[in-house]
Amino acid sequence: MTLLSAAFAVAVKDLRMFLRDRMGLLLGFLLPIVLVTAFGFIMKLVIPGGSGGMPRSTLWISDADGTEQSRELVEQLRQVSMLRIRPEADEDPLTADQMRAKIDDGEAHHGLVIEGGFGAALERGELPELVMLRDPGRVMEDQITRIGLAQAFMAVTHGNAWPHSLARILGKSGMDEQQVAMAEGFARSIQGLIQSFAMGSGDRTASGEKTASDAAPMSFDMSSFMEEMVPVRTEDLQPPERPKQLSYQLAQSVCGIMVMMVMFLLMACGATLIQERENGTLPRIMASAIPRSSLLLGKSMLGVTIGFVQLLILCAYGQIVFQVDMFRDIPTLLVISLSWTAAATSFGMLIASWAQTTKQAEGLSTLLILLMAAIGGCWFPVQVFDLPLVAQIVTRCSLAYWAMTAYQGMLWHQRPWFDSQILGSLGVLWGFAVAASLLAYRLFKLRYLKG
Amino acid sequence: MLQSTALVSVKNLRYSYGQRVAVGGVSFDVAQGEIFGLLGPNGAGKTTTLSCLAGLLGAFEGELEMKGQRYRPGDSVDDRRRLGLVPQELALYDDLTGRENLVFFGKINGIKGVDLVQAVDKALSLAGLADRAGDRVKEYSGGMKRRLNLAAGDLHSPSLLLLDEPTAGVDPQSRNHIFEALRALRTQGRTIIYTTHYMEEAQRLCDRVAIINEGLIAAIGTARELATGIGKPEADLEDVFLHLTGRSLRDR
Repeated sequence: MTLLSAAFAVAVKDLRMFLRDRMGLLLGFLLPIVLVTAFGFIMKLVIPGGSGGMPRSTLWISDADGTEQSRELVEQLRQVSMLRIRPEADEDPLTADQMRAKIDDGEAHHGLVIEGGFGAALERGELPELVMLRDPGRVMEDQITRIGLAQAFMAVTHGNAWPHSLARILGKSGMDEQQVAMAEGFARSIQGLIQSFAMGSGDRTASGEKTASDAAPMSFDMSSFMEEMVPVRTEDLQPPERPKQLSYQLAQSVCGIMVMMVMFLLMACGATLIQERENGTLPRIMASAIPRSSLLLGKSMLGVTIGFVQLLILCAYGQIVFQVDMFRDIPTLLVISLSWTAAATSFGMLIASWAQTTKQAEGLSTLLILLMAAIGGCWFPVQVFDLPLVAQIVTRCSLAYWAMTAYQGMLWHQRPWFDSQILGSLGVLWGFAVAASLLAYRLFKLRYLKG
Repeated sequence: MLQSTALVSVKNLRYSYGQRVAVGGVSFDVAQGEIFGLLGPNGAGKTTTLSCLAGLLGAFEGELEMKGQRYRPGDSVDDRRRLGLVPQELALYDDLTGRENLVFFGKINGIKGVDLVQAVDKALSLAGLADRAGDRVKEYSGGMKRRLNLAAGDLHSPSLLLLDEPTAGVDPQSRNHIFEALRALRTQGRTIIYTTHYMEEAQRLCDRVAIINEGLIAAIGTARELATGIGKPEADLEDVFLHLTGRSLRDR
């Protein structure tokens, strides 16, 4: 037999074996399809077309001015595709204090206060100051909001404001008035030039083709330039004990990895149930003098213990390396970690009780874990994205969503375990743990106790 | 004679896998201290019968009795405590040592403390593995694993020991060691039900045998009684077996 024919024979044999477990095969091929679907689904909903590749961020607005100009600013903000403006038209307006309370509670992260006198100041050709209430850890949303605000502000002031803003900034920086006036004049000259470009008044050839200079406005990002020029006074609101260096993304990353990896670990624990059958040790255990359900219970106990220890190790790592302050509220950390390991263990046992082979269990569990991690917020902060109702329902179908919500509630919002939002998440996790355990036991009896 | 001293009675045992009848009404008694062989071609119903006796198959018809009492190991932990199972597959954990395997199987059969230590030492001695007790099972030879498999089944000194082809794939030395171990257990009063494909082995070891064919008992008795029964008193057990079960392949 030649090398090639021998290799061919080996390949054919392996292909036959590969094709033998139809369910395992199906799950293996299904995995990438499901993941592509989940990713596409999330990205499509989080970053809708026309948003310039940015996710939508919610901005609450309190319009204490109520003038035509302030209403125009709100309207312009509503036109910015990367922002969702609240309150919606059919919702009650909020005061600045009500917005502060929302940010304190973690229900909102940015609120814009348009104070009285905004419209009048614009009328006088002055630049009225806006107030931005924000959770400073929401860095990504902050950038999105400021870009959106700059765009809207530009539209309201018809692009005439930034030379004045520049002068203001230079004045605050210590430049004397004469130099400031010169700089402002120079800026207005640039503004005129830019506007002439933006209005498409560049030289044209006789044939109507644009000259090279016409390309300049296309590459000039006015909004990013203006981002720093909008007169906004920022008021940071965050729980007093949250570390200053902690960003939402960092907290989400640490929690996401913890939540996802525990699921993988506990699937491996659950797979030992199938291995008992495949290794031939199951009949001896079943014929021994123990209650048979103790096999399932024992493996669940191991799962909870190992999962719990892994979570604590990851917490310690997050604390040491990233200063995430995981151990600030130890009772809450322990309650959430125990709840999550219980839910994830019961999930692992359910898969293990259902699967006929290790290959099936690995295929299905990998698929479900990655899917739940993706839509549950382990990879993207879906908890904070502005998702449509259907997407919100879908994300809540993931077990990981509730674990992430609980951990972020503890870590980000600094809530104790008995806070109603965390209790709600824990209730879902324990409800799943009980239901999945009962179902796993039923499947276990069906698969393992009836020969 | 056996009726009065029977440890185990199997009465009209039936079991089906879906539409396929595996055991179609099997009855036999096994006396205390007897080694009873269940012989039959592949698919005859030996392992199914053994599995019913071990409580691994719940929904069977018929009656099982131990010492005249209803015996349902599938439902009763107490009934399971009285049996030991040596499955056909090597029911061991490769990544644990021989001693760790025995400790685990001892614990799940209710032995603890000093009794467990003594039982494990005795079982290691029975298996001839005392000096390899600390090695992982995956480092054992096939014969060593078979001997440990047997020792694990008898660790808690059960009244009834069920062995499903315990010598499959072992060398003559290990096979001989297993035979000696089983004889030693018999002298201690252990009752053993034993399935095998090796007729010579059954002839050497078993006090009586039952030949099962297509889910039914074709003959039961000592090797001599069976030979006489087919009209060839000098025939060995293999001749009897082929005479009763035919020469055609069964597991096609």
